[in-house]
Amino acid sequence: MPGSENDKFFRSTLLAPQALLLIGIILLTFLCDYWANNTQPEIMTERATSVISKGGPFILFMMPYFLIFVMRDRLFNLLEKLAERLNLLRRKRSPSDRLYRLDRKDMREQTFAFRAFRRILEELESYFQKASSLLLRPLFLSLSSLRAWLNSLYPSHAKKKRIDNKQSHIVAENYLKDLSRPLALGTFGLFLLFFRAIANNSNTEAAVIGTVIATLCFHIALTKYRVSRGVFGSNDQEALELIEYIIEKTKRDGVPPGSKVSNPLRHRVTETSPESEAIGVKT
Amino acid sequence: MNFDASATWRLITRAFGTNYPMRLAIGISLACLVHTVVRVFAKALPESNIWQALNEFGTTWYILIIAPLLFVSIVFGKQGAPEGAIQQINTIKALISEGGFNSSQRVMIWRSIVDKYLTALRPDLWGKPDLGRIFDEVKNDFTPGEGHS
Repeated sequence: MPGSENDKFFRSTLLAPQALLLIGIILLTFLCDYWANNTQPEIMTERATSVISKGGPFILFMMPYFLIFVMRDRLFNLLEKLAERLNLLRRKRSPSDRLYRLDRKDMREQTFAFRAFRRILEELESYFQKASSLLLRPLFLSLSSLRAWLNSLYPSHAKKKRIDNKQSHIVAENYLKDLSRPLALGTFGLFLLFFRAIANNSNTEAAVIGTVIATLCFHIALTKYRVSRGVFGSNDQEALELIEYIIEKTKRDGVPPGSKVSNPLRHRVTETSPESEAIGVKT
Repeated sequence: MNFDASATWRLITRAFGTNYPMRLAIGISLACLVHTVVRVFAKALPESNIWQALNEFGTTWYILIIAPLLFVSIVFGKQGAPEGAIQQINTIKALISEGGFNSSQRVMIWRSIVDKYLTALRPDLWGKPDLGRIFDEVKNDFTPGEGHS
């Protein structure tokens, strides 16, 4: 289902508002470009005044909601600290502070104010997700239909993809998955700006953006290659990146993002699926 | 590409924010937007000197100034690896280079360190494992003749 695909796509935190923000900025850039190239100076001043007077209050009105949504974790922590200071939260008696920290999430649930605040944030989150999926739906519908057509052409590839989509127990593979989504979106946005720079004949800008795109593409290709070979995490920088990722995911999800760092190629040879499964025959 | 080249590549691109691609893309697009807005104002108000002067700068300058602003919260905030972990990784790197290990041993050491870090990081015992202690364990595993402690 395309809807569920969209949901899965936006499940990673903050990707939906970030994508929305990026596309909004790019569209606004195109609009300003058109404006700068095709309008007379006198009309432009008039229109600028009208746009600022109409759009300014709307943006000012929407900005707090957007900021609350983006900074919800920090707001939670801030409110939690404030509530602790004011003795609003009943502190559980636990033998050590470490255990107390684990209980913080449960404690949030107990207070009415936090439940109410969480409810408001959830509403806002669903609102932003709906808004973003509505705006990006044509893109993802076309992408998912394209993928469905490709899958019908190559059923074996589709089978492989389905296996790949499952949450892996390999940390490096999960890292690659979590890195490639924002990277693809970011590269897509930069491509739009690259074509705009070419259309405007600004070669330096095109060169700079082109270099960034090439760097991002090479970065993801290198990461993909090293993860597929099972050697990711075998130098200081990669180890640091993985440790960073492990800490971040453990903080967010409560559990580490896998049980094994990477899967060496020699072990993978034994992991071939049986013939019947590959063809799609269900016994 | 061998592992040292990959490490160098990552060290350089890390500084340019490749690990935060959306932030980088938003920064660059914001720079383009600001330059375009400046261009609009320069065209709309031809008698104003400040807009004309700002319009003289190319988009590259705007990218160089605006894109890093979005990374301020990452550089000065508490996102990413803790400072202690970065220092310990650097210490381990120095110890490995002094230890006289060959390249394949280095690869194995780094993999074992991350592996042991992951094993030490249990959800029920939340707390950051000590990388220095993990390195000592790994070193004992890899140094012949000293046995396992």
